[in-house]
Amino acid sequence: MLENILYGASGVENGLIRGIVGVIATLLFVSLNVLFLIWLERKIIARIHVRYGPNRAGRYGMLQPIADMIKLLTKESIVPKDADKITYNTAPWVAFLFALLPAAAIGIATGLISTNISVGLLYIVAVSSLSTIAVIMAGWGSNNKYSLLGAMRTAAQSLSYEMPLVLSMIGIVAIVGSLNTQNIVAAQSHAWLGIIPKWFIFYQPLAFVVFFSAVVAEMGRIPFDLQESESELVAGFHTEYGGMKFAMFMFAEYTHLVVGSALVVTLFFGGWYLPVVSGIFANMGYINYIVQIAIFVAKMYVIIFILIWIRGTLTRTRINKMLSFGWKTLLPLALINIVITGVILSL
Amino acid sequence: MGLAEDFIPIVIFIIVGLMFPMVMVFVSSLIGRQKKPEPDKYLTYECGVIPTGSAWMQHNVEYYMYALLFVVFDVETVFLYPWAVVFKKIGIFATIDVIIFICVLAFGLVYAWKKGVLEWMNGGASWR
Amino acid sequence: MNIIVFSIISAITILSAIGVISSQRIMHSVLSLAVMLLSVAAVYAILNAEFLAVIQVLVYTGGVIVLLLFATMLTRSDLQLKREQPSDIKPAVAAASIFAIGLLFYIVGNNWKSLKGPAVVGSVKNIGMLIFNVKKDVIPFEIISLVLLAAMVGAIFLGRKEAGQ
Repeated sequence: MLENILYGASGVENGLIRGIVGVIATLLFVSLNVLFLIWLERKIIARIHVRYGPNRAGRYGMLQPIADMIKLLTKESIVPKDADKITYNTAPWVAFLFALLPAAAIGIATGLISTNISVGLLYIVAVSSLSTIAVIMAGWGSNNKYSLLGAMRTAAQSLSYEMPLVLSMIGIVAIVGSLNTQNIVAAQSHAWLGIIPKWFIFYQPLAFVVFFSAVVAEMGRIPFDLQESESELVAGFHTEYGGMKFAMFMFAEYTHLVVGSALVVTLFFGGWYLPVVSGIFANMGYINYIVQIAIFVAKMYVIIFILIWIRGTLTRTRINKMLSFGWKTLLPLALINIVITGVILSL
Repeated sequence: MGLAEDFIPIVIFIIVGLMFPMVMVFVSSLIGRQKKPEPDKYLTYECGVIPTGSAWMQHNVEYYMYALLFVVFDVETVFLYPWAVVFKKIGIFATIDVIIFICVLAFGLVYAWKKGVLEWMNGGASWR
Repeated sequence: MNIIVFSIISAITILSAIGVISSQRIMHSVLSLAVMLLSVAAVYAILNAEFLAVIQVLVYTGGVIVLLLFATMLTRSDLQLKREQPSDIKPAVAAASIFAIGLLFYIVGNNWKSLKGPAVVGSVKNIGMLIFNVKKDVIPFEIISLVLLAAMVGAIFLGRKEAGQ
């Protein structure tokens, strides 16, 4: 089966197998990670706040996300009577769809990718930019002042930070000469002296700073979580949602977290390559895949831990400061980075 | 067939991405609370007060200006990506082209900056 | 196979285009337009123009539609009002019908060639080589940046003027 997905049947058949296996694997991977992340985030935040966090359901409260899931499943579904029914009801689907789609072009090991599309990076950016529409649909469809304000802020924020995000990746694309995520990881698979990895964070430190800030903002996490700043907007764009529809938004949000950190690992931290370890397992068939996946997931969780740490440490910025940080600091830095990269590589 | 191989998985992702929430909402409607909620539950939430007026009102022009700038820079990236991809194969001449291209658009950014488009207005009151 | 896929996508395109003009609320029109633009991206994808397909999603659906959504929010109070029926639509209907019939004759009478090329033609690499490797295309490329600059300056000027009033 695995050989089939990797090198097997050509054309349409290969696409079908890849698609079906890929979508099942992606849904499983993302759902498991989301369930684990909900617990992990609450636990780490609690530790930072010197609290215990969830500790009743199961050992260390690890069953808490499952209990939450069951609770959300058994909730009644309410559509506010002033809401615009069509928009209100379709918004969670759209949010879920556009959170899931980018995952199709991110591989977690050599060849283990749902679609090896050659415009991979642009595809990921293009599809994830569409989740803005879902947010505006939710905010407008609810016909609630808090929701609409939250949605407008979210949209302004993701527009402002998408530009630095897209522009900061150009340096890497210029080095690799490809938009395909597999090629980008392969380009980072070597090491100086056999120990120091040739990750792009060392080649493109400025791009990394810009990209990481922009990713945090795109995911709408503290310090850029103006979309659902609890103290002023109740819950932002999903104030009116409950039950399963709310769960869809939560799922989309944590999927963004998983996909975003996977993208950071792919672009700047060498994906599934680790200098010494990858060499040892390189010719060991299936074991090699397991090791690659393990390395990728481990790196991903380091990034996620840093994101949670940031959330536990920093405060929320104000909207004018956040927007001017995006346009006046990150965007010029991203442009300068392109010029520097172009000049250095040309020489 | 060329690209079919790459696009079929995306189509499958779209289908599953649309089906999955439907299934979940359906399951939820089966095992969820069946009792009809009291009419007040259908009110729009506004901190326990009966909402006055619709939320669909006029918003600041700032949002629109940011979106406008965004579209212009979006089109810019469309031209920068092909350059980045073929960067290794073409000479320094193209790099100079692109640097001029970026400078012209950076001028636009500076113009927007000077005109105060990047400031959040807050209805006349100034923020520090 | 291809013709079936194309028919499905065209059906979605046309239905959503009808949705744009027949929706009662402006917001629904804009969202139908988003669906339409996405299905046009799908048409590009089946024509092997992958770069164009992705750009269609990135610029049109991700950028222009959000711009239109913001513009909708800017409009005054008619957000909740139903769209008004224009008082006299007969001349418009007549003109549109004549145009449609003419178009139909043209479409039927024309001998169409398939636009679908090999995947290499629509790839980012090929487009990059076409723009940057040929010396004579450099001037148009720089002019694009000037056009974009002019668009930005003009939009800012008009936007500030509107905001001032």
